[in-house]
Amino acid sequence: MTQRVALLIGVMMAVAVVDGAWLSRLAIGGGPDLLILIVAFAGLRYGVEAGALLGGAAGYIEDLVTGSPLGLHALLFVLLGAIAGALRPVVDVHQRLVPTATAVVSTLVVTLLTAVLALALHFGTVVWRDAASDALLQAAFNALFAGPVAGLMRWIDHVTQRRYTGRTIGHRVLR
Amino acid sequence: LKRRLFIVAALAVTAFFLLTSQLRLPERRAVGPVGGLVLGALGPAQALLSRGADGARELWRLYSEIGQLRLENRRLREDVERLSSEVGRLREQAQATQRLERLMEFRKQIPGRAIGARVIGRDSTRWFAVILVDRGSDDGIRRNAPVLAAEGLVGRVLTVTPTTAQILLVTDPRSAVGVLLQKSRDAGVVEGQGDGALHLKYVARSQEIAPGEVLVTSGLGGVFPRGVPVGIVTDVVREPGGLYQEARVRPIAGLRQLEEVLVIADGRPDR
Repeated sequence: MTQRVALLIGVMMAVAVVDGAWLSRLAIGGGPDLLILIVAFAGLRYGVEAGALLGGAAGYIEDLVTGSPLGLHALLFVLLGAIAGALRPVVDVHQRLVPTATAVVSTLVVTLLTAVLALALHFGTVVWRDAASDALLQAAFNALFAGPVAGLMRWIDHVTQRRYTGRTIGHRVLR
Repeated sequence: LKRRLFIVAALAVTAFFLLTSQLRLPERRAVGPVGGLVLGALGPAQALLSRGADGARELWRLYSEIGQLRLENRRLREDVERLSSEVGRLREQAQATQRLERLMEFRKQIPGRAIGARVIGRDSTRWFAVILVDRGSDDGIRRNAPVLAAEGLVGRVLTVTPTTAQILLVTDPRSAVGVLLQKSRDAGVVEGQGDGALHLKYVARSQEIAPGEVLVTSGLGGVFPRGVPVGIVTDVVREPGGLYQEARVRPIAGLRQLEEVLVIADGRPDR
């Protein structure tokens, strides 16, 4: 468990750096945000608590790296992780279209939550048409990266699963 | 469920508190020791990646510029080709104008009606010397009509069709022209040799022929007008015991470079 969390946090930090250094250059209105995908996939894979905790960590890292108000992405990603975790019983992450659908829906959810927070806390003016077009563009970008990020999450699960070290009877014990 | 809700709510409230505490006052934004540690670790990596991205972008810019330069280069090449072709055409036109001016000047000295004709074909064999011009009987050209260039005699009309005429050049082995030595006025005959040169025959041995002497048409024979330059003597041959002397003659007109000629439609000798 500790190994998986450490790996996930390392991946989130790396993704935050890649987001800031590379992917932000693709931005034409709304650029890709891979941390949204990491948080959503983490919620769908590990449940509400893990989703919220990892979301908080990911949001905090994003706030640090991007210079946005501390706590903004933390709050957004806590909620996103919790929502994704709550959907875990009804969503099969192994379905082919799930990563893409998750990317689109989670991006739209984050945009909606951000707009609501902006309206509530008065930290920005919300023009719904612009927000919608940016959200759709970002959702499209994120959908492009959904497959590779889902693969990355599967890889993390694979490399962090505990192996039975006693007498083997030909099968592995999954944690 | 309660535990889950509690965790989510605690996290959300903490984040919300953090957010509202420094949202309106950026100066209160303090990343703290953990945040400082994270930023300290990520900053250099981000700078490195960013430099890599800048490098890639620069490469892409250079690549795009190369594409633009290629396009521009192609356009300039096309311009150069077009302008070179135009210069060639204009130069050709200027040369044609000069030739025609010389021809027109020469035409004034020739009696009779002269018809300008353009050379449209040549005999491709080395044995005979015939050219084809773009004027024929429809234009008033008759068989055996003399043909001249600006420099001098070219030949005579061999065959005529309504729209074209074949010209037998003086250098053709079938050609013979009565000539006079321009200085001594002695008569002779030049025949074509088939190799681009002429052969002067039947000049009395008593007469002195010097290389460089010009031969002109004698007007005898009723084909060519009198006094038209035919060639220049290059070598004189005196056979021991012969009655006559002979000479090798270079045609005065550049027969291999002919492009326009004058056909004398109703010229008569001695006119």
